[in-house]
Amino acid sequence: MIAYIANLGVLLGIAVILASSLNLMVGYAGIFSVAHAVFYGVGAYAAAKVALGVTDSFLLATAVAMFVSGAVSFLLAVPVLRVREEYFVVASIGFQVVASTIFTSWHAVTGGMGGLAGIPPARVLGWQLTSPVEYLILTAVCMVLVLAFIAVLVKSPFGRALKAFRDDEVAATALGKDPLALRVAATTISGALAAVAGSIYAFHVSFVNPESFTLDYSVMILAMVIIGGAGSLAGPIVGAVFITAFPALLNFIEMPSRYVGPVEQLIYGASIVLLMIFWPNGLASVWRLLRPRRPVQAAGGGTER
Amino acid sequence: MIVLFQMLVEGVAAGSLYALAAVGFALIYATTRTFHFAHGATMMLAAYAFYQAVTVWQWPAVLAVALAVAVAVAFGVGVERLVYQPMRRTDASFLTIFAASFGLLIVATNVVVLLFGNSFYSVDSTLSQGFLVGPLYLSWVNLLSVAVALVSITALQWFMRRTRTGVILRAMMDDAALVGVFGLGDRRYGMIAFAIGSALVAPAAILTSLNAGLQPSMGALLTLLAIAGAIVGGIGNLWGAALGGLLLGIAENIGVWQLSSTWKPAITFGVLLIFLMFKPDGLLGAATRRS
Repeated sequence: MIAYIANLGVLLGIAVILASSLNLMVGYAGIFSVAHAVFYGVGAYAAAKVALGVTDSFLLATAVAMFVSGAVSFLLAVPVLRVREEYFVVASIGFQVVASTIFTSWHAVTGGMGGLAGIPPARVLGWQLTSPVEYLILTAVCMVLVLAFIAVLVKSPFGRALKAFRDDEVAATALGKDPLALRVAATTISGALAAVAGSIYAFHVSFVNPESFTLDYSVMILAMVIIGGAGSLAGPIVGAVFITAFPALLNFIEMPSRYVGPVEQLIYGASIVLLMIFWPNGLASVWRLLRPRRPVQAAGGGTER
Repeated sequence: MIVLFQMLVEGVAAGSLYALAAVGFALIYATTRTFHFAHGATMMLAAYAFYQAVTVWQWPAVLAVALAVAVAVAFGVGVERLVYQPMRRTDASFLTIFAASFGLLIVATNVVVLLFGNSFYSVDSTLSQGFLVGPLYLSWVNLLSVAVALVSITALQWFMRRTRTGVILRAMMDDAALVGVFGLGDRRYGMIAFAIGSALVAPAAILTSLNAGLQPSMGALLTLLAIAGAIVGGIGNLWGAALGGLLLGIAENIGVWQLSSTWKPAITFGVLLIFLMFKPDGLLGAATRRS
């Protein structure tokens, strides 16, 4: 039972890291991406490669994973971010589809559908992790670090410039900021942070294969951001808890197992539609409304058009 | 070499259906500025309605086709009326509307999964047979796909140029606010655009189910192809979208000739990514770059 809860906690922590890092793009830079599972996957594969071939050091593997994933998102961002936002959405889906094909087909590196197995347990500063609880602690520490980093980042001049472009591109350009450079930086950082989740996942499950990094999962990460509320720190956390906890709750309802997946997806699809119509700032904004002294800021992503 | 020509035939047939979907998407997008991601859901629902009518209820083909068109139009117009219009009234951002549309696609897909299951269905029809022309095999479905696409797109062309409604829709493409100023109420014309755009995917739904069968994932796939076609053709240009759809169908099938079929989606998006990087305005589109 403790192992079950610890495992659920690790998955939740991974989801929070992924949703929060994607929020940097969706909520702060106004870039809609449906390819976040790619960066998660690239991070997981890179960490797995390091762990299998070089060292079982978690910190080293994570550093490599962040670098590789950041580089991949940089390479995607530079050419594609020049086009309009609606095109980037489609380009990111295209990128996800191409990447999924590469994950399954590039046997020499990814091991194809079979994936990479036998990843050794992680070692952190000389400490060998074995139990699920230890992984939970590791995940929690990583999650807090990532969240703290994002919190500092969005309050920095860089974060303020990003928000300025999201809210009014013309005015921000008039201030002499370069939108392309800012957006590329946000995308690169977002990709590198997603790799932290990938690295945790690879060590925790000790096995990676393409099925964990599909378009469906990218959609789910995006759903977490949207449902929770893009553009706030609490939003992606609320969304990640909502979407990760839901399947666990559905387990308690008597239902033929083949219905579980579709019902789950139906619920989060319907939540997105209803929230977008009635409450586009997401679930987290409900809580913000209850504290009357602070003005409610519009945070439903970019506001251009 | 004969294989190449055969693949070209398949590509033109598939591309004709993508062209219909892309034109529908482009029409909706250009007139209402709605990034209608649930466009593929329209197609999927029409396909399953057709399947249900033909194989389960054993309706005559004409009635089944009529039902498919009715379902497509009802879904498209219903979504415009109940989801997009209320959102547009509150000045929702592009991303908010896109997210809602995305949610609709997820909902529609999973309703179909719950009703029909995830498995693959096929519709038996003599139309999937064909004949040989020299070394090339032509199936009736393929010929019909090309013919239906040509007729529909020509009819749309005529409609947009010669009727009052068509002229108003074209005016909306240029400046929707101005059309509103003339008191022509873009709400009503938005629904007309959705009705036409959705009706255009019904033939694609029917012919795809005859040719390749049905699966819930067909909706998402067609959305992506329609959008990719519209972008490759140049968004805002209906005939460019048709061309883009056709091109993607051909690229996909010729690609499969050289690579394994697991690469099919990757080829489509490879083409799309190349266009976005080097010619983001598409084949026939107006300038679309940021700043």
